[in-house]
Amino acid sequence: MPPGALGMLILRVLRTAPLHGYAIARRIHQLSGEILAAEEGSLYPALQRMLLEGWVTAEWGVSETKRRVRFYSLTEPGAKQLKHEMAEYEQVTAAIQGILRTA
Amino acid sequence: MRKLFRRLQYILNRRRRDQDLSDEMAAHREMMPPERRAAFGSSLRLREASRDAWGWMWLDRLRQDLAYAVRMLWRSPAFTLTAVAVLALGAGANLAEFHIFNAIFVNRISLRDNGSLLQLVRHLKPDGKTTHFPAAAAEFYGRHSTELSYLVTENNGPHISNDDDDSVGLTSSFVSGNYFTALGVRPAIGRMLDPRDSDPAAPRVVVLGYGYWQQHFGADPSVIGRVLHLNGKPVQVVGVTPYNLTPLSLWSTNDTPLWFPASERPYLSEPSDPSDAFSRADTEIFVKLKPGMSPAVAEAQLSSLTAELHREQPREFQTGETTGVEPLATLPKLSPPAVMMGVLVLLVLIAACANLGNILLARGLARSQEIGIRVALGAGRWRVIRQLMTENLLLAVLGTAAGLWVGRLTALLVLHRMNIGPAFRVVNDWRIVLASAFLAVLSAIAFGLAPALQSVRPAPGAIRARQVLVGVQVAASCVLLILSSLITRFVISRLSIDARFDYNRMVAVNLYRTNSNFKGARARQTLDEIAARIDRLPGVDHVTSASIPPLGFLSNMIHLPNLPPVYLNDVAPSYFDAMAIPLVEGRTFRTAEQDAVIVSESAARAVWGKDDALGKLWDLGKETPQAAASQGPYTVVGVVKDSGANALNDSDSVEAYVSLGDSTRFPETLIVHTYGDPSALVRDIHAIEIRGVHPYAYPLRRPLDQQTTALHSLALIVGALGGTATLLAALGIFGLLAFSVAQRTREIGVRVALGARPPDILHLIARQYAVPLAAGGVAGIALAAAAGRVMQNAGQLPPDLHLDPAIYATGLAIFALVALAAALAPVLRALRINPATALRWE
Repeated sequence: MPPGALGMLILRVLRTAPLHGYAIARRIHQLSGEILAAEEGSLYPALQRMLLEGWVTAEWGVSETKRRVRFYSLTEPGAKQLKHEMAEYEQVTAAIQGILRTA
Repeated sequence: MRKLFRRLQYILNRRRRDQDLSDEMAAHREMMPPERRAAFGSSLRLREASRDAWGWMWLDRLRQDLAYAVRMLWRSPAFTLTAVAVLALGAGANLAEFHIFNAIFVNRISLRDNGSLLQLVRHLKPDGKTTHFPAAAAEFYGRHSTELSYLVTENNGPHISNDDDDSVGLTSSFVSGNYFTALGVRPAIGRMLDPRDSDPAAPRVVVLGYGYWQQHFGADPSVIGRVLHLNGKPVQVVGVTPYNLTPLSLWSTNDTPLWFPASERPYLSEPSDPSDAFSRADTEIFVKLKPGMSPAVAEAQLSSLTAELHREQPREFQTGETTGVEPLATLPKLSPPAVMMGVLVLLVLIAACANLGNILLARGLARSQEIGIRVALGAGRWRVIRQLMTENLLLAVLGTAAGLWVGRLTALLVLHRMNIGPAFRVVNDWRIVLASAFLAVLSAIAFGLAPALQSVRPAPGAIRARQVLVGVQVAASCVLLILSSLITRFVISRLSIDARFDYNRMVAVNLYRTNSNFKGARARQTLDEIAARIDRLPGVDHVTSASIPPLGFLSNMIHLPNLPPVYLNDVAPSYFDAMAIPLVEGRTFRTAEQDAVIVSESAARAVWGKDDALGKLWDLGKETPQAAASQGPYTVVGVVKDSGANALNDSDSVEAYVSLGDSTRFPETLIVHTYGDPSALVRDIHAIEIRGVHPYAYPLRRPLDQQTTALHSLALIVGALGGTATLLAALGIFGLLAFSVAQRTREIGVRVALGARPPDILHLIARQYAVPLAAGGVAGIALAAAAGRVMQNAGQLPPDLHLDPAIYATGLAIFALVALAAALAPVLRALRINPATALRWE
């Protein structure tokens, strides 16, 4: 996974609905067609950073398997940040693809 | 901003937040398929990495470092105590200096217009210049000038005596009524003088100087309203000046005890004819120009006023005399000795830091194993350095805190010795706290950084660093010891007065005329009457008179070509008998004998060498006291032993005496010897009442006592500094050698086993420090010589005293002794090393 992409992906999966940590990892895995794996080693530090930046909030709840888990939900600034990162990402990939095609 | 808030929230709830994270991770792990659980990794490390996101890691580390530092220091109490003691001494001396400086200089009063005050100057023909005006001129300028915002005058007048507490020769300042209000000076207690006091009909009042109030009235506030008898006249005390209020005049003494309104001058000293107001040029004038006025315009106007004065009083003002204005330097000047004292104190701190640096370097060496293990376990270089610096900082804080206490105590002691008085409470105000915090950080860096760097990366430079530190320490100690020896020597030379006469049982009596027309035969008659009455008092066995009382403030020195200064005194024939100064040859004076001189033995030697002085003619030049009566040379009629009276001020001087005539330059002083109690005699003399004369008596040794107290405190302060430095040096040398020996026990054991003999062992231990010791000693001598020169140039020392090799020898010998004593125990231990035990040494 390219650096910096993890944060964007987390924000993106949270846009649909609040999720807990394990669910975030699983969802990224599923949605990527089981190609990308959000490593636990970087997932939690990333989430803490987002809490500090105020892009997500965390709240304790009960999971579908009746476990006490923490749900992360996207905030207003988080949604803005996601938009910003996606726009930037698209621009960069477009530029890279342009080079790959013509060069 | 919000981010900062969230960050703070985190640190406040960190325990709960940490628990949240850990619960969350546990849940995550449980939800994972069992075969992938291992991929989760160490949850401890994960948690750490997550916590790191919040940016509070440094706090954790600091806490760890501090806890570790406390543990380390606690576990080696000997090291900790030594380090703290060394630092406390070094920082304490500095803080004491800071306290004293603060008390004396920072709390000093500042006049409202310090920067813009100007002094009037008379430009005389052809190119003379004086700041002294007749009093009436000030009034004239004040009335007619339009350029001045205000004008104040100051007349640092005659010496005054206070008959209630036996003080004599008190300096006084007579100031214009608006002086204190214009300058904005507020009293310590009571009130200052104001324009109402200048009214000739107003009650007679005085304001006491702060120092005088402290010393002679014990800072008693009830002094306000008390009536003193000054020069025999009742005057009421209305206030006390703030501390350190000095007259504006350059000619004034710093601690003026008595301040009067100018209008009281005739009341306190001889009454003067009102027409006489112009005849005495003794008043200095200070002005502030109106805003926007240029000094040139003011000068032009004042000069035209002076021309007018010249027309009225051609005798007092010259033709073409002009008046100028000059800025006044009123900022407190740090005298070179004060600066030097500061440098000396700083030297103590540097010595302390060098000392500690050495101890720490040695300790770093001892801990190299520990540090090696920590690095091997993965500690980063900076992490280790940071940890060591935390430890040093903790030491510095402890040392400075102890120093704060030491400094306060020292300052209290010194200020007490200096008689600054109880109004100066030494308080730890913010400046002092700031200064000590600064010192703490500075010393942590100064003594901690090099050892910390060295312990991470042991380099061959370490030995060199230690040698340099030893050198610095030796140099600092030597400077301080040599200077203490210099000053002590100076003080001792001033303390021991080699006076021949029995000054402990003598009383001098000044005679103040209360009537200026008291001259000639009538005066003589009254004087004789007083002398006769004193002679009849109980205990008195000798009464004589002279124009200058010995050991006093007055002197009449004449300078003749190719001769040391000659102290000349006019004395009565009975003087030598009363003073117990034996005649070597010849005779004493006959009554009112003219053209005769009696010389001291040293004067005879200086003028005539081995020749017999008796019967020789001696031309004393024009400065003879009886200038009018006889101009011609004097005949030597007698030779007496040296009295030693002037040795206190000027040991090279010689003495000569001429006979006391009817009209002498100085008022006559009676000198009385008693076999009883001198202070009882003083009281008896004050009880004598004779019309026209006011006798004022004081014990002869009092000026001596006043001088010696000041010298005592100087010797005390410098001695304390020298003692501190010596103690530091002893600690340093002891610590260093003890450590060296402990480190090299094994090596020494091997050498002994291989046949090394005690001298070889000594050589082994000492070799390393020979060069730094020598270099430090040389640097110390050079620095001390430079400091001695500064003191001499500042007029604090007699010439060339600082070049006396004995002083250097004393200082170095003391250092050598202390160094030897400090080295003794470790060296003995090295010599007693037993190869068998040494080889088993860790």
